[in-house]
Amino acid sequence: MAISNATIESMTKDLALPNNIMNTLREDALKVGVSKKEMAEIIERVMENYEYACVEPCEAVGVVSAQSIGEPGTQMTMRTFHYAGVAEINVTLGLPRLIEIVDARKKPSTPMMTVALDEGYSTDRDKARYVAWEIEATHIEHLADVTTDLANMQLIIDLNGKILNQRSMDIDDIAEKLRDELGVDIISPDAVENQLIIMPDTPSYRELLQLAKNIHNITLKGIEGIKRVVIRKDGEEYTLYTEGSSLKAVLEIEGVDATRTSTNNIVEIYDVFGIEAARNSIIKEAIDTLNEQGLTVDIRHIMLVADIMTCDGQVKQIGRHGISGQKASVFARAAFEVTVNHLLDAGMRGDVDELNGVTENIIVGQPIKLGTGDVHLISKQSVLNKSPTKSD
Amino acid sequence: MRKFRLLDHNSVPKHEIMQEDEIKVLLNTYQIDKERLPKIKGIKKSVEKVGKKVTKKVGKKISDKGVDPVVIELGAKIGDVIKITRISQTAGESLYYRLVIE
Repeated sequence: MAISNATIESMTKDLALPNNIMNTLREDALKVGVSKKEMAEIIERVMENYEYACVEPCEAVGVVSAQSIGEPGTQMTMRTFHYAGVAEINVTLGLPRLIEIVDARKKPSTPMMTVALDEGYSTDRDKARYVAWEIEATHIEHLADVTTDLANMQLIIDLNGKILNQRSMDIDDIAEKLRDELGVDIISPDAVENQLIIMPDTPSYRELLQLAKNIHNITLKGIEGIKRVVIRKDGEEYTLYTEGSSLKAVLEIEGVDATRTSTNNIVEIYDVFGIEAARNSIIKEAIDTLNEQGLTVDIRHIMLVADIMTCDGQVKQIGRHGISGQKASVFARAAFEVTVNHLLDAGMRGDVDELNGVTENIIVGQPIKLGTGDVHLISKQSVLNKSPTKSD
Repeated sequence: MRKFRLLDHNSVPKHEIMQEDEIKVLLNTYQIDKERLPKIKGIKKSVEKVGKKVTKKVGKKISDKGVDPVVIELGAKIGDVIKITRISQTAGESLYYRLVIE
């Protein structure tokens, strides 16, 4: 006789199980329709297996994680520049990317953003394109031919009217922007359409050549640092992929869905969304990099790495300037890198090593506090005194 | 400038400031002090005071640097404990706690 949902609920509610297992247990029990006696046995067996699967106290999870990530790492390709689905955007993958993630670099070698669009923009290709032009940095070479006229000491800019129209810009905007940035006079001759003439303040070749160089560095429209934007249709909606990353600026653009937009620059995520988002991002980027190479690493190992990297409230790298370099023990730091410096500094400061960690205990030749090594027998003095003394 | 709540973002889990009695229960279950919890960066105390007396601009400029944006949004103070409900792939939902530090 099958038991009701409420009975299952009351039988399972006090179990120390994670939500996932709990939900599966309840759903399956309801679906199959078990009797109360069967349910009790199922619960017993589930608990037994769950406890068996848990990490035992004193287990060296860090070492297990390190090996579980390190071994597949040896099979990763050393240099891969892959095209991330979109046939145009170039993204670092493979081992270099994994190293980048655990090193918590300020800027990845190929920053990239995934920009989701708001309702109304996401299904309309023209609107999506409009947002894309708002994001992509537009320079003068995209819009015009710049010729240096040495005879008359001037720069002639021939704007392409069609492209201007496409990017919804007009000649006055450009003239004004150039005037602001360069601080020179700009003439728009009436005789020729879509032409601007720039003359340096003082007529010298040096000034003119300098101007010709500077004019290419000015961002006329869009966000600086975003070299290209690609529009792709994912299922029903259009999503933008950018080469280059500037999260803060992109979030402020009309039409961008701020809640689903993200970047592959972890430090940038930390600055904009905070430490928990950075942790999620580390996990996602690392697991994606590994999976892309056809390697399966249990996510728990990556989660441990991400937790260690973010436990201080800021993204720390695994290495000299992060986890390994900030260990409390002098011996542990000396065992990692630049041994002599650490020992010398510790000696001058008069540091004390409490010998609490693993590395330092191995160095001095003591049992380490791991596994069975962490278990001690403690007895009360009073009990010892009461024990029969005549026995020996 | 458009505004949106950071906590609405997909990759930002739920953050809540814990009450004093909740913290007591938490520290008791794990048998630890507050200082042994994981940390989150908060607004510096000294700067907070400066910010009120001196012009707001100066205070804001210093205090915002290196401070977790979520802490600013929640308005958490140094010493608060923030309860984070993470969406976990392995456990469905997991709880994490962070102490707000300078």
